[in-house]
Amino acid sequence: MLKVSNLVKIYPSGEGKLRALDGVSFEITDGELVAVTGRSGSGKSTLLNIMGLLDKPTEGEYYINDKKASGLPLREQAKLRNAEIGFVVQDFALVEKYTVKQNVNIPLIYSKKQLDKERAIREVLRRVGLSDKINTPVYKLSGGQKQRTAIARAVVNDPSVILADEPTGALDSVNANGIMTLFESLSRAGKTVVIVTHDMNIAARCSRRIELSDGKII
Amino acid sequence: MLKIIISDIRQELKFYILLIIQSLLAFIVIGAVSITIGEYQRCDTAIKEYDISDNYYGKSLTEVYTEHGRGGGAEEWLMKMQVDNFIAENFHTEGYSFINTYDVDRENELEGVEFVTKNFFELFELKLLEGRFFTEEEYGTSTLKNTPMIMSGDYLGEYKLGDMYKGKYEIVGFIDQNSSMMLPGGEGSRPLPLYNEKYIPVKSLSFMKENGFDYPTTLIYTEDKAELRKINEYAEKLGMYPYLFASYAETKAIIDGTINQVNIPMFIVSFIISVMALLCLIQAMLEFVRNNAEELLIHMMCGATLSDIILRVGAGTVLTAFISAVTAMIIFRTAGAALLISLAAVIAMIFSLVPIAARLKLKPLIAAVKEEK
Ligand SMILES: Nc1ncnc2c1ncn2[C@@H]1O[C@H](COP(=O)(O)OP(=O)(O)OP(=O)(O)O)[C@@H](O)[C@H]1O
Ligand SMILES: [Mg+2]
Repeated sequence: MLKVSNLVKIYPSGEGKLRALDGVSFEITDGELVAVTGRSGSGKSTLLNIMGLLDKPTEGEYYINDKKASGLPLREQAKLRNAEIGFVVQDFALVEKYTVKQNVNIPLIYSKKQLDKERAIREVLRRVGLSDKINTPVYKLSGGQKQRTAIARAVVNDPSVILADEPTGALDSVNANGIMTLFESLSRAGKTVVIVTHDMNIAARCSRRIELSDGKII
Repeated sequence: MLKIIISDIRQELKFYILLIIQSLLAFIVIGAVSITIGEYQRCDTAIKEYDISDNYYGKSLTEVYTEHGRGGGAEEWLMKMQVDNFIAENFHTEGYSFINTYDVDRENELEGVEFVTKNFFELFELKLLEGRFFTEEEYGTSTLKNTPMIMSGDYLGEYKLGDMYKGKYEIVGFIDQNSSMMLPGGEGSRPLPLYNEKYIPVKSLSFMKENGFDYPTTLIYTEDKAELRKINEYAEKLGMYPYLFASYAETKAIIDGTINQVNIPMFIVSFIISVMALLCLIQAMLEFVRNNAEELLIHMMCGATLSDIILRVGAGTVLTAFISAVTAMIIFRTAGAALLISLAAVIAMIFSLVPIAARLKLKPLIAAVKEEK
């Protein structure tokens, strides 16, 4: 279960301050598949980054499974990021010189979970359709393949929360469909999935929609 | 984790090799300096421990007897013996003298044995492990019969009290072999170890001369140092170079002077070199972080803690220090150098912590990744 209450994020900008998030509150229960939509600059990525513990809110609280995650020591946040959160960054954040396998392996290096790492990597690459690229360096991949690598890395360590920023932005409709099928099956398995998207078809396949405008929910 | 560390090091191999050479150089200088200083300090404390009158003078240990050599030959040895006899006739002396095959051919059962004077054990504060010292009457006799012997403790086990050494010399005592003996002299003065020692009391001067034994003249007593000039006049007549004479006080002054004059600049130089090596280690870590910031941040995004990152970044440094330490340990055969080096690595790690943490600030992680791009 995820819960945010009264989240405010203020960026310093030019003359004054920019309220990228302005009092956002909601709850998401386990197994929900949520779409976050809104115009460009409405604060979607900002919200997702805070939920992924990659950024700190200026005000407000954030709970993961009833545990207050905002304000935890950095070390604990890192552990949470590793064990509970799978994050797909808008521009992938892959290590270009690594192979697909090495990139997907990163969360497993720090994972304390008992899982067959080799098998987990192979399985997740099969599900995103990258089995044949396992040993290809990332800089040789297309945008869509990079996006699928990023998604594979987000889910490989079996997190309970998956946060994806425009996960289908670089994909054609066939691949986007495949990724959505993956997210749907994760959600059915009880995982919480939050997807930032512009695509109304994607949003329509989600069980719930949160729409942002100028940092507020509408 | 180990795999990543190894591949990191392989990537920056040239750099690490350079670093190893540099820190090794630094530690060799430091090691050499600290060993030299340590040795002088050992002399210093050895001298301070004695309560010997400054009217005792030692002969310079850098003796070059004649222009022909360093006293290695029989001829030079005979000259030295003549001078020693002259000293013994004209001054009160204390100390020890070796018996070797130049002295006597027929008595070579005494090869390596030393004659010692009446106050020898007392002056050098040698401690008895077992048995007794020589009695007053046992000194100055004119025969080798009934000569008692004192050995250093390392012979215990091979001999015991009451044994007859070579069937002739009764062993009456064992002294502690773990102490040492410091002679006054020039810069070359060092505490002498007391292993394999076999002492017998010195005989009468006439007996010593007749039988070709060297009289002990280690310490020469005089109230007026100018008196010692006579010895050099005699030596020069024989064709020998003059001796240098130094009391304990003078020896101490020479040693102190050496520590101050030679080693302090050397110490400063080695200090500077090691500070530079330290900075280099820190620089290496920061450089690594700078070059790989994006990658490290992505690892943090996926759950690496700051300590994971520092472990990874520091691994090369620690390895560098470790290799240098092992090499230095082999060179100097001491753990001290290794300790010093490990300390340097730890200090380097601690110093780099703050800038590394600052660079890898977690908060705007995504922004940072973008920035690095
Ligand atoms: N690090 C930052 N510093 C200053 N302003 C920022 C920063 N990150 C985002 N902003 C601003 O905050 C607002 C919200 O940005 P955000 O990235 O959350 O929008 P978004 O909804 O994800 O847009 P898009 O659909 O284009 O990705 C924008 O006006 C943006 O310019
Ligand atoms: Mg965005």
